[in-house]
Amino acid sequence: MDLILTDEQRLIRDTAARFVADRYGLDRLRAVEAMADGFCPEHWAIYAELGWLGLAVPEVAGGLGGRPEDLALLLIELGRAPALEPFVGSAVICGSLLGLAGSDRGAEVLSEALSGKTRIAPVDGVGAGLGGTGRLRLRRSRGGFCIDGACRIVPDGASAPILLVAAEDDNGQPALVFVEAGQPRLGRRAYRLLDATGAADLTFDAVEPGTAALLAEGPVAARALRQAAALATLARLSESLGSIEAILALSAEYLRNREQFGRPIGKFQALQHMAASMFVEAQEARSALYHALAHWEDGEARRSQALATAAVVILDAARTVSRAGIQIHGGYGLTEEFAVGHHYRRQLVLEKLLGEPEVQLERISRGAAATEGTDHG
Amino acid sequence: MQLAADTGLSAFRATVRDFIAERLPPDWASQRRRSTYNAFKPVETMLGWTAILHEAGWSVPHWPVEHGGTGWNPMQQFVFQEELALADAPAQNVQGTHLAGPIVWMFGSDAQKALVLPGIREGRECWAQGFSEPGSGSDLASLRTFAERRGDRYVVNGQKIWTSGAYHSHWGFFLVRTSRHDKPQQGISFLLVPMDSPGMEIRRIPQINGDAHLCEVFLTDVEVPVEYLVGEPGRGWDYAKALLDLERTDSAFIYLTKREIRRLRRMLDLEAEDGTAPRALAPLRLRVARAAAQAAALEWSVLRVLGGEQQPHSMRAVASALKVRGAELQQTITEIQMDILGLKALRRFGREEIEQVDPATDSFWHDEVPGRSFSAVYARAATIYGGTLQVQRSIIAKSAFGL
Ligand SMILES: Cc1cc2nc3c(=O)[nH]c(=O)nc-3n(C[C@H](O)[C@H](O)[C@H](O)COP(=O)(O)OP(=O)(O)OC[C@H]3O[C@@H](n4cnc5c(N)ncnc54)[C@H](O)[C@@H]3O)c2cc1C
Repeated sequence: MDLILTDEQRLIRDTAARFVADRYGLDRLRAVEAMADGFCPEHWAIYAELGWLGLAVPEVAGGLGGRPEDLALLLIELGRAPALEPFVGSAVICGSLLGLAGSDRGAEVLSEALSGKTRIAPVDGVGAGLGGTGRLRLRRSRGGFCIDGACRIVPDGASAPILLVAAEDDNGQPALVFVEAGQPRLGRRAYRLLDATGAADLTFDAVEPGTAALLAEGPVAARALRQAAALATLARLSESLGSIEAILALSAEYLRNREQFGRPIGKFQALQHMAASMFVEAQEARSALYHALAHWEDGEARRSQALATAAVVILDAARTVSRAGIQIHGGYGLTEEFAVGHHYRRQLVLEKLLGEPEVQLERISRGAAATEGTDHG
Repeated sequence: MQLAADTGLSAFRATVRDFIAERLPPDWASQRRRSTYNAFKPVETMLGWTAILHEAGWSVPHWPVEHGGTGWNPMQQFVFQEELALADAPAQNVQGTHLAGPIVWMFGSDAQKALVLPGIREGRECWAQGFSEPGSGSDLASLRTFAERRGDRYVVNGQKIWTSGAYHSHWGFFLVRTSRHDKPQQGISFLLVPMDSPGMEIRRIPQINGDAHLCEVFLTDVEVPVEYLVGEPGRGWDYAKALLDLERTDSAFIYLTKREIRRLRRMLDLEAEDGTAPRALAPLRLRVARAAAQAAALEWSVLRVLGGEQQPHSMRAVASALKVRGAELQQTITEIQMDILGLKALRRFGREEIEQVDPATDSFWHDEVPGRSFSAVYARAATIYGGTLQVQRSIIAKSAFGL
């Protein structure tokens, strides 16, 4: 164990912190929210320039091959904004899938994605836990194969130029396929999510992406999907933690500056205790994330238990802290004109993408039953 | 003690129910069904529904009979409100019917009564409440908006905030300072102001649920006839306090809460049928059951007040307890609603999308989806407006225990 950041990690954290400070003040956040699909191309170019888009991509595939700790450190900072770019979908989920699976077309798309020229949205039609919900089937046909089905609430599904689709093949195995956004018989119904980011319901009506689009299938695809889902969970939990810590800072500042009854409201014990509880939650949230990171290499079962464990603690903390943050701000917390409310909405989105605390508890108890008797180190 | 409901009430309930069934426009009901608590209230339906109720003489049942009230006893009023809520009848403009109206019939002049009450009763005029200011929220008595007397007018300067619905209101009732006093409460007066007066500027504040119902009101040399000051100058604070004693049980939101409990059960069924997102609903069913239990108790807390039970505690503490639990339940219930929807709760529906009921919704985006998150996010306000949770708790500590 070593709790001191390496030089490289400090660089990631500080660069990200500077990005958030320079580029993500409240005015800028509101401007990004107002952009089409809540997506800022200028920011995405910076992500590319700083190498973040390759952080979750293995080195052999041309990425940076960052450690999970690196990813967590980056996302904690981005969560403080809260940054709205579809980083987890495109760079973490698709980035890791592309790196792990490997194919010619994959390498081509990956290099465009790494340079920020294109963006990929994962479409989870197999229930892999990437976000979104639905079922997609891949059928072999004479000319290649075709995809049928629907997938709803796909983050970034509204405007990502490329979709990376996970569908179930005739053998009940997952397959990973690229689909260009403009494909015939691919229907998209676009809308915004609560945090102003874009999403879509996608319908596939015998969509034929062509044989070259097949990235991986069978056990290879299944393993890649599990790895991607774990990374996505880690990333979103880190984002949530960053947001929790940011709400704490915003609330502390408000407690010091807002005056009622002739004194700062932070002098009222009721609010002091509320802030103290938020502090406890934030402490435990960070510790829970460390717990998950500590078990990252301990095999899939242990890792997913640790992730679900972290999720329970962090999601509970996010609820408590984001609500208390609004309460401390009084009426101002309900408006777009204070950052705390934006964090509240972002936390709602992260929570639902991750699965609520009850969902996580289910996972833990199922997993505990399955691993009963194995090592509990 | 005999706590079963009086049998006479069921005939009354039937009369009310029949009237609503006959007169409530179905599209107003479906629009209202989309919203929760007071997340949004379109002015057209607020006033329109009041006008329809007025035809039956029921638009302001709680007012004294001479001003258009019905003379119903508290249990009849309770049943009436309950039936309205269960039928998804539009909200009324409570700033008019429950705040401005009562202030005027309690403390206003005959001329003010003639000027103001018919418009409220008949659903012709909408009212806004101008109490809070940027620097004066919980500490309302520190308000600074000043009305200076010049001949037969007051000239008002200052700024209000959180003035709900100011942009679509005809009138505002404002707390303003008319003299500088040592004790801040004593210089405050109650002033009726037409919202289209020259010098009034209104800005709608963008809210995190996508609405912009709350407003800032800037008053610059706004001239108001002295006859629009209610009662005596400097007594505004006492009048505002008297309002609180009048409507102790409203802040429990019990009628809408009962409606939302019904909705929760409906939503569980819909999601169980949906099947596109197989999720464990069992823990959610337990949470619904707990909320329903709390609502059942809260209903009796309201009934005990309406029935005039002699309680060993100050009624202020009792009223604040109603408000605390009522507000918490609004938040709990809307949160469970979002959790039942899971991912679906993330889709943002604007106010227009919620108002215009789209018949083309599929079984995934069923009719109970739009409006839930909009309302749940707004419900964070339930522990803020009308005296924050912390302020209510302080009131309880002080008036129940003398602390
Ligand atoms: C949705 C909504 C609708 C509203 N509608 C209207 C309206 O129509 N007309 C109108 O006039 N006003 C309206 N209000 C304003 C509302 O009454 C105020 O928001 C409320 O009084 C709190 O004031 P504030 O927002 O300035 O918060 P503050 O008073 O600044 O409170 C900030 C925090 O400090 C806490 N606090 C303050 N004082 C104390 C204390 N002594 N002890 C412990 N904690 C304390 C509060 O509990 C809160 O957590 C509305 C507000 C909302 C949110």
